[in-house]
Amino acid sequence: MTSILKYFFSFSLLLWATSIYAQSSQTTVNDSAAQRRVQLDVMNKVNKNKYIYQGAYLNLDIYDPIATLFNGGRFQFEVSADVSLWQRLFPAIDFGMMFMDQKNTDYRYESNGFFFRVGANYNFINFKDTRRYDHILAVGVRYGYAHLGYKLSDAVCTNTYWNESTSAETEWKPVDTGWVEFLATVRAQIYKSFFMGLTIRVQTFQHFYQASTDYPSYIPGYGVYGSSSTNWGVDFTLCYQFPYKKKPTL
Amino acid sequence: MKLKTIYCIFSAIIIAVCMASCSGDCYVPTKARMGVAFMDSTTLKPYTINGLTVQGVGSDSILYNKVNTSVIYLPLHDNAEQTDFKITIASTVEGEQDKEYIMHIDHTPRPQLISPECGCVMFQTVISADVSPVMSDYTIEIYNAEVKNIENDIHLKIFF
Repeated sequence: MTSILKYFFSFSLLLWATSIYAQSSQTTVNDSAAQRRVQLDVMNKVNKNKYIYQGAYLNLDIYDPIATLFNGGRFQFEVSADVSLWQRLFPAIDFGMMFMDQKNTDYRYESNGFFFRVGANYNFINFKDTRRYDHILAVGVRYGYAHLGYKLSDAVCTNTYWNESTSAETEWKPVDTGWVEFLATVRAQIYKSFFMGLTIRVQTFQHFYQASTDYPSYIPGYGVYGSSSTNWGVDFTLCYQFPYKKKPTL
Repeated sequence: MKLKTIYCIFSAIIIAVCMASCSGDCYVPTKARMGVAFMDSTTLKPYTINGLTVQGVGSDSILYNKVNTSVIYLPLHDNAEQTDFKITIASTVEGEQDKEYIMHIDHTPRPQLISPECGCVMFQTVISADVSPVMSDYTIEIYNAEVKNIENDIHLKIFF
């Protein structure tokens, strides 16, 4: 696409330059500067709305690793990548993994798995070619998928009526699950190619690929699984923008 | 907006969210009880039994003592695959003895971790249910075999 554009406006330039030369038998310094301005105007008009690709981003979530200090026994990390198209549309893909080993006097719960999400964001602000920074304020949608396994052992279940305290365990169970997410995100350019982002997600339409009477207590990428039909989550990301060629200026 | 302001806002948000994730309370039921509904086989509407007493066989504690109700919720054993309940229905005829029955439930217990705050609850899968001696003109239907920590959930229906 870039090669086609290059050849197209190079050919246009050649045509334009040729026609101007044919009409003028003598060029001066002022005429050359004016000609250059005209040529750049042509470039700008040709390329206006043609800068489809406007940068690629690599995002690292730092909220989950920090939350590990507070949630006891669960470590999860997530990376994501997205591409800016017209600074309006941002196709994105997320990937993450979870390792969980929660132990206390009442149970031991082990689980590990991975997840990924695919989707896109739509930016509402700051999308003109003359913008100084690449901040965005966007909403988006994702489809998430997770594969995990889990096991409950040394579980103490208390039955107050029968006055029983039972120790039980389960086998290692694999699970595949999917869900739909709606999100809102803000990403601010902090310094050169470095950004900080904050994303709030609402997850819904969660479903298991295999019918089962049991369920995991936590799904990577989704969060705590329970009786509620929706879930919500937060990501706080550090982002790096891969350099891209910006619009030329006079 | 200045960079320092952006840093402060983002830091405050992430700290607030981390603290919110530290909640230590349990907000869901932590008991799994089997719901039994009494139904009128003609109208298919709830059927109220008067003077109903229910007690687990092997327990000294009475679950329901001479109540008038169309639904009862019964706790099953966590460490066994069968549970019996003694059901007594007060006689409406003077001089007649109360009717006693034994409800026998076969079930499979399954431990389930609800959450770190709520701990473990024993879910059950009901295999079969019967009443002895046989009540006249009744049928038992397993409406929902999975007994979980959902309040007011019905698992058996007894049609009179």
